[in-house]
Amino acid sequence: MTRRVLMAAAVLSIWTMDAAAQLVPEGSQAARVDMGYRRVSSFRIDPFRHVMIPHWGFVFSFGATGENSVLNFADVGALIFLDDSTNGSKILPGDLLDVIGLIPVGKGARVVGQAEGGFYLGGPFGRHLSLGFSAQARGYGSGLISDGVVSLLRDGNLTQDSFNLAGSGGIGLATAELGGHAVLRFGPLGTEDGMHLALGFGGRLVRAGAYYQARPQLGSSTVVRAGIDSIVADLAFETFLAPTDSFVDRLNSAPSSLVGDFLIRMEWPTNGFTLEAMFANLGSVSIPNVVRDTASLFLATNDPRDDLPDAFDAMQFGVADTLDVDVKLPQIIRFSAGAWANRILQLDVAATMPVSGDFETPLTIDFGTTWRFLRTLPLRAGLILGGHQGLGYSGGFAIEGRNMFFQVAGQSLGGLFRNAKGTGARVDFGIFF
Amino acid sequence: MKRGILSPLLSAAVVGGVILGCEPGSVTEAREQLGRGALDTIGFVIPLVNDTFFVSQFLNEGDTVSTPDGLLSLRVQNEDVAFGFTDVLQSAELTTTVALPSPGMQAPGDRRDTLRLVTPAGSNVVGATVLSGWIVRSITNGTTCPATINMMVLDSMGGTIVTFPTDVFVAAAATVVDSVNANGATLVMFAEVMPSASFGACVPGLGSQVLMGMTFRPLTLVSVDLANLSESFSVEEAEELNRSDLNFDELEDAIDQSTLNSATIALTVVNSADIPLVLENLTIGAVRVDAGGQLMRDGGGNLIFETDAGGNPILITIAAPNETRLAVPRAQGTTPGTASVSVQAAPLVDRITHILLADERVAFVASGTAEASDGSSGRIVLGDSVTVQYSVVVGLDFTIPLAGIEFEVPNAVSDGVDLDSAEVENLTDRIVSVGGVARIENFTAFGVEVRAAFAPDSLADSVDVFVQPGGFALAPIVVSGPAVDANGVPTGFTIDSVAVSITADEAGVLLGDSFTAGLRITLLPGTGGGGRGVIRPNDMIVVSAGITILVERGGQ
Repeated sequence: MTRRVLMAAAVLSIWTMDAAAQLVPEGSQAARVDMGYRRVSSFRIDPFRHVMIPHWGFVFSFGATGENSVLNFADVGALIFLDDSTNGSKILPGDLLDVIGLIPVGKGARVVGQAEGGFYLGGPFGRHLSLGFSAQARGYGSGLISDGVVSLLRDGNLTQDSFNLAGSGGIGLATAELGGHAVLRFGPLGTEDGMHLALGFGGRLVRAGAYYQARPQLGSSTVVRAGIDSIVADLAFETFLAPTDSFVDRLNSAPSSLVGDFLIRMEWPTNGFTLEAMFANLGSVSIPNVVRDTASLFLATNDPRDDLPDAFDAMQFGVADTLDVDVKLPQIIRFSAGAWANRILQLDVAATMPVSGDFETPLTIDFGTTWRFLRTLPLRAGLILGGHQGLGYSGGFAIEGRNMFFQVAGQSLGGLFRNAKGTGARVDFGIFF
Repeated sequence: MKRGILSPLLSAAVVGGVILGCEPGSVTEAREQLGRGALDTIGFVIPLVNDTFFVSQFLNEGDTVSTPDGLLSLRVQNEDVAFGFTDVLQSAELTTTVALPSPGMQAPGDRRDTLRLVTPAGSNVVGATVLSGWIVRSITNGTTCPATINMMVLDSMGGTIVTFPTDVFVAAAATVVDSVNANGATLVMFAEVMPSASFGACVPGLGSQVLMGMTFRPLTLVSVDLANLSESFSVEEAEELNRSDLNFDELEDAIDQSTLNSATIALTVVNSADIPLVLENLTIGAVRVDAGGQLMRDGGGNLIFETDAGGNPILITIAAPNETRLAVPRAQGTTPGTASVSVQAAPLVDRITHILLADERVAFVASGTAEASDGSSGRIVLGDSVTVQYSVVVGLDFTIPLAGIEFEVPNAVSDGVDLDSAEVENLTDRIVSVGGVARIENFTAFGVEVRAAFAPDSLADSVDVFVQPGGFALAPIVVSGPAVDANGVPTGFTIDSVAVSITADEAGVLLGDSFTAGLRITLLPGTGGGGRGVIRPNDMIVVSAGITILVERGGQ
């Protein structure tokens, strides 16, 4: 399945390159779209999302995505149904076996979520400069039970007896941000139809409102051995929790960290071809006075039925120390290209580079189409390749008026609708002066 | 802030709506949805039993010792056999008669005689103190005159041994007999009888005489000092053994069916007398005791000792290594003289053990001779004795019968998976196959057969899991014994495993609230000669058992 999708993506890429060279007649819908609106909105973090809008005004926006690697919506619905005693049913061991079997081999059980919402105010100063200021709240969450552990239940211990917890853990981070971004526009360069160059840069003051992380203690053993005659584990865990003051108090007391964002975009308006590179979320967030709790789980038993519960009962978290933590934000490196395919169709492709670390994300390629049967009412549909799910779909529409801007988008990850293992939604609403 | 709350609520509402729209219409549909994954079979190995059984744990720890050879041994309760010196402290009757002829009767000391105490073996008694007994005096006046008689009984130092009444009147031709209690009397070397007679104005006829008789009836002595020791004591002392003296615990049946190849009797002979002893051909044997508590004897009154296969009495000689005698020094003051020796007595102990395990009566009998004949001097006091203290250490050196020896291990109750019947049925429906895997590590000198059975619920030790309804048993696992050296000591260990199949329904036993595992361990003859092998303190059997369950999932 993945191979077929990648093949389709390759064909689409070639087709897109051909389309990039295709001229669109002046006066067509595509040609009349302002350069700012040609930049397709993404579900992913994009600090320059609103600065590129060619009008003064403010924008309220909200977006969230969430996904997991195991259950689709139909699965969750089935579990809810079975767990409802009024249906005369309950979740049986066989059902759990089936669910465990859905955990993808090599990936483990992963949950990822991200949300942002905020307010933007800004607009252009002449042809060459746009300024924008934003106030945002963002949340990042990620959890993984590594495949090395999951395999104990999913694959059994008949053929292997060593299970590795390494990589498992979870992290949640909520931030409040104040940002200022500018875009400098140059062009056309060389000739009247020459390239337009946009350089964007900005920064955000980020404060952590909440932070929690749990993981195997660094340097500790992460291997569980479950053989024919015994189960042996000598594990250590640590959790990090920022002081649980009120969110407002926390924001007031937490230090600010500066995060940088950069953009370079080149556009050839005659044929609508664009190239863009964006580097965002460059920096980390400092969180002081984080309480680190540790606990250990030691088990060496040949009677796991009796000793396993006792070992877990004995595992008590206790405060180990307090420390300042720097959490590296999920760094974004994204390369995009776009072109007009014809009078009404704009094609875009964006590759978001993999992110490692706590917010690990694989390479993701977004293919997008924008259909402008009416110039101010673009309809969008797209395909998402890669990422955690391998395949996803996106769609939406926008109203790009002179005095207002409204955009709605949704995505279905891992499949369509009931087969989706993740979903996302985004709403932007702006008023222009 | 409001937006911060609104965002997750909005997203939750969207996700919730989507999920609610995905709910299936029936339980079957729901289960099919969850079973959408590829049909797959996975295998789990679940440990069931992993126990290490030290053979020593079947014994009472307080009774076990390790021999210098490294064998685990059982120490049978210490017992004593004692004999005293009553022969020596019992004097023979001695008599003397002194005639006082006339004339000259008036001169005391003119006629006198001595008595010497002797021992049965002829040692010289150079001193004694009497515990009880009488000394009798007999006076016969053979004259025609009445006489007044006096008599002194002195020892060699002139000390009075006993005092008879003085001035005893004896009519002419009359006889007077009297006696004194000798209790507490002492003498040194000998007793000298010194009589005298007076007739007043009467003159006895010529040739007439008064006969003065003195008899030392048999005296019981408190102590006796001997010189030129030449004593020999005949010993025959018995101590009945009690069934409770043997505490083989769970090895009792095993030992009852086995031949003990190693048993040591540690003997300590304690001599509280001030005479040196030599135990000459003193042996210990076993004699059955009849219902009346008497040692069994043949028609001639001889003890019937237990015999070996050749009909020869099984007798263990108490002797120093490579000798037939054991010298026991004399006591020094209040410190008794002791001599110790350890003798191999496997045949005797094996016989006694089996007699006792058969609930029959038997006694250890020490018989033979103890001699004090080195010609020296010594002293024996009433209460002096020779005590033979023995401690039997039974080395666990078995010859196991071909049928083996079975040990019962207490039932082990384990928590199950705590599933209800519906859950068990649901899971057993998924089971493709169930296998048992068991592994035995044998560190004993013997072969081992292990059988395991499992039954539902928590069962008491008294319940035989192997016949419990609803239970199942794994096929027996037999592991041969390792190679052993000439003494039956293993030179390595053996290990083996076996896989067996059980049904899904049987596996359901393990999925309930709890289940009980029963184990039976049978020691089989080892590879040593005749199946002989020893048990060492750390000999153990490691039993690991688990089940392998292959379950099916997905494929809907």
